[in-house]
Amino acid sequence: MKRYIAKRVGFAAISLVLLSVTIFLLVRLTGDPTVLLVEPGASQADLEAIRKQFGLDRSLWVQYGHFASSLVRGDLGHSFYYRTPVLELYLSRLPSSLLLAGAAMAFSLLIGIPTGIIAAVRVNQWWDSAGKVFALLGLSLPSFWVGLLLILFFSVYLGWLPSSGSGTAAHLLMPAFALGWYFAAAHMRLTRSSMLDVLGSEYVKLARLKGLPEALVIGKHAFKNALIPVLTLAGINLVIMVNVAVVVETVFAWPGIGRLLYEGIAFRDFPIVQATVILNGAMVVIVSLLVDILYAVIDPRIRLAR
Amino acid sequence: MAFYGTSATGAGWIVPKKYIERVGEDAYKKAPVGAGPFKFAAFTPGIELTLEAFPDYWRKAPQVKRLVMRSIPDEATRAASVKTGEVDLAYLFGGAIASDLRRTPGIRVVAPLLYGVYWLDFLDQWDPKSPWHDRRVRLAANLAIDRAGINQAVYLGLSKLAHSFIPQGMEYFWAPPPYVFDPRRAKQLLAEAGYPNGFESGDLTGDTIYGVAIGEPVANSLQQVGIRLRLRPMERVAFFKEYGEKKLRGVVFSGSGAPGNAPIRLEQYAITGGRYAYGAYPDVDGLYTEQANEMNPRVRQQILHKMQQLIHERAMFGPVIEPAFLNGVGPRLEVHGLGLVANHAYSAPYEDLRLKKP
Repeated sequence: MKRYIAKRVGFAAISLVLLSVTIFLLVRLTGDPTVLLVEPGASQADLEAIRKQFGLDRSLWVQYGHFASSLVRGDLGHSFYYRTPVLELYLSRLPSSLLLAGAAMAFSLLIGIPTGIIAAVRVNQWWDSAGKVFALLGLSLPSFWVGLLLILFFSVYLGWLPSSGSGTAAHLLMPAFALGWYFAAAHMRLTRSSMLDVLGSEYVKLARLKGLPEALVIGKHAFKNALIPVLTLAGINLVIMVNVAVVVETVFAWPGIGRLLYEGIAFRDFPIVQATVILNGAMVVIVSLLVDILYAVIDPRIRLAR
Repeated sequence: MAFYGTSATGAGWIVPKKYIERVGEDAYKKAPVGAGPFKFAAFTPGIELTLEAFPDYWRKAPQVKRLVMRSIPDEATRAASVKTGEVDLAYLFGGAIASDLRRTPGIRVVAPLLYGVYWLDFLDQWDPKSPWHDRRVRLAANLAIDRAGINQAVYLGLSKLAHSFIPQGMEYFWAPPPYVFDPRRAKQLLAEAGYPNGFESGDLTGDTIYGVAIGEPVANSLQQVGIRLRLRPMERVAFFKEYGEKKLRGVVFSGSGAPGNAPIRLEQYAITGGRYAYGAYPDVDGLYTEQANEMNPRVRQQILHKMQQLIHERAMFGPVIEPAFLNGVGPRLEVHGLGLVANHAYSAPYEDLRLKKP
């Protein structure tokens, strides 16, 4: 088991190193950030002075060496645009992102799981068809468009909710809905298929033959077992939500790390993009590592096979 | 106000030297002290800045006691926040959304002008084999552009039509005779130049923001007379990089809002060695050197006017528009500050902002 964990940790570390090299090179392919820090008419001398100031005049290897050594010391650099430490910026935005992802996850589970159960229990009936339409809409409507519709309806027409920003529960509702909508559909589909599998199993048939009430069969015997893959997916989705909230956070001016990444890309703020991608990547790698370890603990076949 | 009332203040802020030296730069950024009408209260980088009125400000005590500047990146959300009254003033809207705002009761669309011009840069005019080498073709393009129509569609008619690539408010600007929208004459000129059926002109390259918003109607105008251009939007940084490195071909949808005066603008785009100059005329180059050494302002002006006249006669550029900055102003504001500082796009000075009495 120890060997297995050490191997997984090693793979995770290699993934992070590769990620850091990739993002370091990729952001530099997107163009020269100094062009955005000056007026279009700025002279060559101005551009070169700014390049020197940010160390962009040095070779890529020197830049990467500096970046990697700082990274090891926990220093993610200073933002070109905000002129503040990137880690400070990231940490100031992280609580908002986690709050939004948590609310969106709660919404997606509250909607996705019951509709999935109903669709499975009433398979090929009206409820099931309605569930399929819901899933189709959830998976196909872009979150920014859903967000704009919500703003138009609940803020502009009804005046019930603030159109953007953060600070109160009212600010959270629309972004959480817009972000959770897609995941609600995904959770609904998985709950439905998982429930259908379980409902067709021998032990559920036996429970019914024993004359147990249908509510007990579904609620106690079927649902509990059907929930395992859904919760596994939800755990991974929570991390994905933090990472994919860029559009929703931008539409609702939500102060999360998705918006920080958007600003970093828009301003060619290399340190922000690098730090956000690496820290978000680290989040995904760590969660995957934990899931791998958990599976190995639960199922000995996995650790033996690997 | 000679200094404060212009965008020059952005080039030099007055801050207490002793304080910065005592606390250091990083601490200063967290609790800055300046010489303005508002005091720093709170700042979340990229999200929100809160300022509180400084009643002893030398010019006047601000009437607005608390100023919150929020960053709302999405244009539609910004518009919604003005409509709902969550914000009193929001910057930078495109024509479609500004038009919707203008139809909303209580909301005003206010559009100050800045030192900006959008124009076509005929890069291939320096290639003797290109149709653009012929002055008549460049003049035809200028006569084919429906500047007033573009102004109406994209800026609700609030921008100024441009006939020079130097803004009208800029020092040493020479007012050229306006290009009258005349597609028939444009077709005639093209026929005289040997292109009775028009020609395939390659790319009209611009950045993804303005190059598309205005470049597209410009391309449509040119298409009407037979100059067929393929719109090629490029990401902003990549566009300016390639433009500056002289890697682009065909026609470029160019623009600049950089402050300064006419010689500065000329040097960048129309003089040999200029960052965005793909070619130049020796006589214009000569006049540029001459004006740079001229100490008499009146004579210098004459030289600079002559340079602009030559550029206009040769139809070196295709000026399109001096864009207005379309902003939404909510019903609570009595004095919004937009346009109080000439050629400044934003609300200023903040001490002049005034809310309506309840």
